[in-house]
Formats: sequence, structure tokens, C-alpha cells
Amino acid sequence: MMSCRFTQRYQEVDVSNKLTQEEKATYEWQIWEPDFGEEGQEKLKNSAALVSRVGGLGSPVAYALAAAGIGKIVLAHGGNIKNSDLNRQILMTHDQLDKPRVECAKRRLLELNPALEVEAIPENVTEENAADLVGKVDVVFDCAPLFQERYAMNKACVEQGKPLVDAAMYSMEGRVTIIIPGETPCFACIYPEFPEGWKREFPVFGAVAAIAGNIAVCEGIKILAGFGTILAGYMLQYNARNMEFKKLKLKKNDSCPVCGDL
Amino acid sequence: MNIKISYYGQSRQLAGKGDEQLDAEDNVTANAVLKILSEKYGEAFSTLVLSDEGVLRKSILLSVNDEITDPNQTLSDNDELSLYPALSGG
Repeated sequence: MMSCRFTQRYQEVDVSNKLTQEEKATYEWQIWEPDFGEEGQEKLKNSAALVSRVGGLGSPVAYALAAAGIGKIVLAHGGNIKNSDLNRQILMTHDQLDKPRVECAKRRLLELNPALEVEAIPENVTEENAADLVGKVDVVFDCAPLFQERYAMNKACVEQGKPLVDAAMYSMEGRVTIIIPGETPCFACIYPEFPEGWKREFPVFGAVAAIAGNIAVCEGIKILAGFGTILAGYMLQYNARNMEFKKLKLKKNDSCPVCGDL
Repeated sequence: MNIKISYYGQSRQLAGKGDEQLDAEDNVTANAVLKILSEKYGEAFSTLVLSDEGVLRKSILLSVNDEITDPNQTLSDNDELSLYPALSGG
């Protein structure tokens, strides 16, 4: 797998916005991580992430990013909170049923981290808005339920050279992979065709979704701060039914219509 | 020869199990095994896994012994064939 020396060129963060004493105290336990330190924390503070949908995957992703001290999160998710969201969309609360998801998510994130900048966009990612949304951030977390959204984000990330953290779930399983445009297989290399018969609603536990979400954030932090080894070009697949975790090496498609020319 | 099949995602749900052993002819290809499984598990499984032309859909990753491969790969005794349909969020 790729070391983060590779990914550092995607993370030329302007760290002119230094840590305050309060922030040094807040993030003390992770600053103690020798590969991360104050330099890594400053990179996080000066970084922005797009979280596409704050559902079962995106909620734990956004929450963990906020807890870690990222500077800005762009949330993109349309629609209002339903009862059936609440088993896994951990940023949503019963008292906000029938109200916009992104507003509830923003409130919860700011309760956790008042210094966080949250741009709450009450729309899902589409082919029309993907380039603009991706252009706002340093890293993208793909947590969307529709494959149209995933292909649109993948294309925008490839075109803009932005790292994409792709998380997915089903039943007791989850997956995470990292797409580095031009270097790793892109989403369209991995899945050249829309899945036949994919159902928008499916069985899953919130805890299973949160595993994928938190693994995705571990990867995102490493990308942004530039340390460790990331899942670039590999798919991590876990099965919480028997706690089987495996990494599969993915193959780039040289004739991929999205990234084949890179 | 003996082949182990491991099912993930929707393929697990449609097969109703996580894995099984299959007695197959020598030098069988992965795609031939998928056709056998499609006959065994019916239309929904077949639609998920195979195209109208009877080859593995490109929305599904296939591995043999945890290495991603293509459906034309010839299998050997005690190989493990795994199916990973594309997953999403929600």
C-alpha cells in the first residue's frame, strides 16, 4: 500500500492558521501521536472535507472529523429526517423528525466543536453540482446511497486531482478504499457498470456503518496530515458477522473513460 | 475438484449463506461456476451476477484466493472464489 509520502503532494495545506492554546489542550491526546503532533493538528485545522450525505456512513464520518479538529466540513444531503434514519444516522435526533437533515447535523457538529466551520448544503451530490462541491475541499468522503452520486463525485475528484475516501456498507459488511486520481483505480475502474437490481434500502446496523465511517476518517486524517499508510488501491472489506477483515488489491482499468487518460 | 464459494453483500442474501463447497469439474472457469450457482439460486441471483450474455457483471468484483481476477480464470482444487457486489451508503 501507499505510504503517505505519496499523498503529501495532495495536501499542500496552508498552515498559517496556527493552533490556539485551547486547541492544543483539546487535541492533546492525538497530538501526542508522534507521527501526527502539532504539525498534523495544524494541517487538520487548515483543511476542509466534503461529506456526501450524513446518513449511516456520513454521520460518523462528520462527527469523527469534527472531534479530530478539522477546520471545515461541507455537508451535502437533501431531505428531512425520518424515523427509519435513526438507527444509524447518529447526527439525527428524534426531536428533529421531519426537519432538514443537514441542519440537525450541523447543530450536532457545532455542539461538539464550536470552532468548526460547517457549510450545510440541503442537496445531494449530482453531476451538476459535484465539481463545485469538490472544489471547496481538500478531501472527499463518499457516503452516498445512490451510485449516480458516487460516479459524479468520482469524476469530479479525478478531474480536480482530489483524494476520495470511498465508504460503503450492507447488512453486516462494510468497505473502504482510497482513490488517488491518476495513481490508483478510480471508482469507475472498480465498478465500470451500475449494479443491476441495487435497492436503495437494505438491511444494516448503525454500528456496522460506523465501523466503515470511522475507518474512513482514519484514512482521511492520514491523507490530510501526511503520515501512515493508506488504503490507496486496496479495498478493505469487513464482515462483522464473523469479524473477518481482508484487504484486496484493486486493478486500474487503463481504458477507463474517467481516469484512463491520466 | 473442490471449490469454496464465499458470498458478500447482496450475493450472500440471495444465496442464503456466507459460503459453501462446490464439487466442480477439473479446469472449470470462474464464470462457469457462476453459471452453476445462478441455476442453483434462481433469477434474482442470476440477474445480480450475470449479464444477459451470461458473463460476470462489471458491478461485481470477483476474487480467487483473495486476488481480484476476471471470470475467465481457470480454477484449481481448493480454490476460494469470492463475490463482492458493489455496495453503497444510506
